[in-house]
Amino acid sequence: MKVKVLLLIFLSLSLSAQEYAVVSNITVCKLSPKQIKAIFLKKLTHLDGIHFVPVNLPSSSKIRGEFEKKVLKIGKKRLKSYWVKQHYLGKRPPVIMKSQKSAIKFTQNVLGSLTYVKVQNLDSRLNVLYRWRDK
Amino acid sequence: MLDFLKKSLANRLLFSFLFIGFLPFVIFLVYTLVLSETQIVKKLIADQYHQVSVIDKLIDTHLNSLSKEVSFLSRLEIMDDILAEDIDKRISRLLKQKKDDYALDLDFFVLNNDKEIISSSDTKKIDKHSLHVEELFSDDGKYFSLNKLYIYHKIYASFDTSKHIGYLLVEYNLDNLNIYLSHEDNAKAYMYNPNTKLFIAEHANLQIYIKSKKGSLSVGKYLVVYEKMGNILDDWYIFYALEKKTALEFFYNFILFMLYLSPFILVLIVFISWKFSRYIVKPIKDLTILTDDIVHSKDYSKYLDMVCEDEIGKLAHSFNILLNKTDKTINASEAKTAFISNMSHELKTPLNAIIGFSQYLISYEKLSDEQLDIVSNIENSSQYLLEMIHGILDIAKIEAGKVDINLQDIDISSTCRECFTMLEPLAQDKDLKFEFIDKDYNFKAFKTDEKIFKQILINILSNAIKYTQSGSVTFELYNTKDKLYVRVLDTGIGIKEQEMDKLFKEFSRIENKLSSKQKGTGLGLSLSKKLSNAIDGDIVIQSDGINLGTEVIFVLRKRD
Repeated sequence: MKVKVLLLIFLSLSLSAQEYAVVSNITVCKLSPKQIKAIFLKKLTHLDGIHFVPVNLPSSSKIRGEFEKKVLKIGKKRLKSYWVKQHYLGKRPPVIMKSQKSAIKFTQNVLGSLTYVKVQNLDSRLNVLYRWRDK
Repeated sequence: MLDFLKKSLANRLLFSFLFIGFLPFVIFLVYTLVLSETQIVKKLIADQYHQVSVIDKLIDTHLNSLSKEVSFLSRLEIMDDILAEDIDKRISRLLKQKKDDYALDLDFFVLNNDKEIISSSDTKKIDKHSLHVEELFSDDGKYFSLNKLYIYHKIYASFDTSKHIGYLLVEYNLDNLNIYLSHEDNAKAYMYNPNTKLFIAEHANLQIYIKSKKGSLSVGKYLVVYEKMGNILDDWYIFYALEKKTALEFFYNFILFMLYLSPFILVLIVFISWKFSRYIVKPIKDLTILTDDIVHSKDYSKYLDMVCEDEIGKLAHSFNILLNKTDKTINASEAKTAFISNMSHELKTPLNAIIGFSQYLISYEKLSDEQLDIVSNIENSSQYLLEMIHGILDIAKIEAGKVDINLQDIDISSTCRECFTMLEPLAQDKDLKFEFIDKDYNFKAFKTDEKIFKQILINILSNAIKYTQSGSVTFELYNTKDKLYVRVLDTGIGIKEQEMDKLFKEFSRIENKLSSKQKGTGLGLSLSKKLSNAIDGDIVIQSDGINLGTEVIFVLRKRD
């Protein structure tokens, strides 16, 4: 029993590296990380009749930072200048929800919407498209 | 009545001044009393319409700005939070802030497509039924529920503008509009919805039947103007009720002031008119007094002392010159008269001696026929001369104003008959029809000098008989209300028109076939005319021409 407890403590320590997931209410198709990146950069807006609605967290959000680093793989500066250019082309950055909770709620409610959450906040109604760890 | 004006220049002037003074005043007074109130009420109504339109514009601007605000808010990206059911309360905070900014009795609501309230500026108000949201289907962006106005706008997702995600609704209490409506005691501006019978703001409690989009009427103590409101509040009317008493208070005070002032102004006009008319007429009055004085005293050495330089001053100056000349003329005339009078008197004595001695010679001396003819001629010529001297003396007396007039009441009718009887034999000698008519005469007594009257009458009648060879001489006596007339009409030799003016000149006789046969000094008619003037009468002679007879009218004014 003690061994089990110790093992769990070890595991939890080893797992203190946070895990995240990109989630959506889309069930009809699978999306690759590249496609997810394209959706969040609004390069891909439709697929199989689905209109994608990417949902960002506020720019100060740590989760958003992790998402941009690991999934989008673009630094803050570059991303900013990217959206400035897009702005002139008539494109706007994704919708921003203030909290994970509201982002999840939004994603649940809006067909084709995508957001990223901490794994522990995952909702059964949402479909996980991609997972990653920060360490 | 008109005599009062006819006889006095001062009265005419006074009347003119009064007329000129009163007329504008009376016109002004009548205008003030009768027309001004209508004009002022018209002006008040125009002002009220202006007030109403100002209020309408203010309210319209206010509600339009609110509607724009709703539209603006509905387009914010933050409204996407509807899809996350506003878990982060970002929309709620925004709505609350907006409500606080307005500081009015209003609330903002955000509803989803199912018309569930997602967030509101007042967290306590979450009952969608109290918002009457079923009205949201109407397309004009507003609806009413009693005194609540609801303005709403559809919300579309920022990421997909075709995606309708909810509504932004503002519940606006129309009582907020109170701030645009006046609440003075004498002027009440309020709003009224005839469909719901609702009032906004304190109203004047008047029963008004609305007939058109705008109108004005007088109800009770109020002057009311109403106008239908525009745009958002198109079911509502603005009323502006102005208390007449207060609005017209200044006007009524002014009328009262005018009425109190009227007697003073009238007295002032009368006083100024009287003073001015007397002031203007005074020099003329002085002139009249002086003239009367001169006429009565016959003292032409007086003069008028007048310092003014106007027309009357010039008249007075000319009058003084005239007086001076008249004085000189009269002095000369008096000297002439005195000379003639004295001379005539001195002539009478030796003439009487000549006549006396001639008559003595004719009566007592045995003269031969030749001598008798000569002496008779002397006597005749002397008699003629004496007659002439008497005539001259009479004229001189009249001119010197020394005729003694002895006025007494006499029976003219019998006096005339005496003269008629006296001269009848002369007419009979010439076989003339001579008649006296007095049927139109009805003065019982007439005040005049009998001796002079008779003298004039005999002269006229004897002339008529003298210058009529055949036919008739009609002697008629009649009168009017204030005049007596003696008319002598003959069928004699008549007078040429161009010789008429010679008739009354001394020593002038008109040459004709009879004049050479008749004796006469040429003084008779002139004397009669002067005598008639002396007893306030006149003689007028008319004739159609030679051999067409003559009409002599002797008229006398009745004395009181």
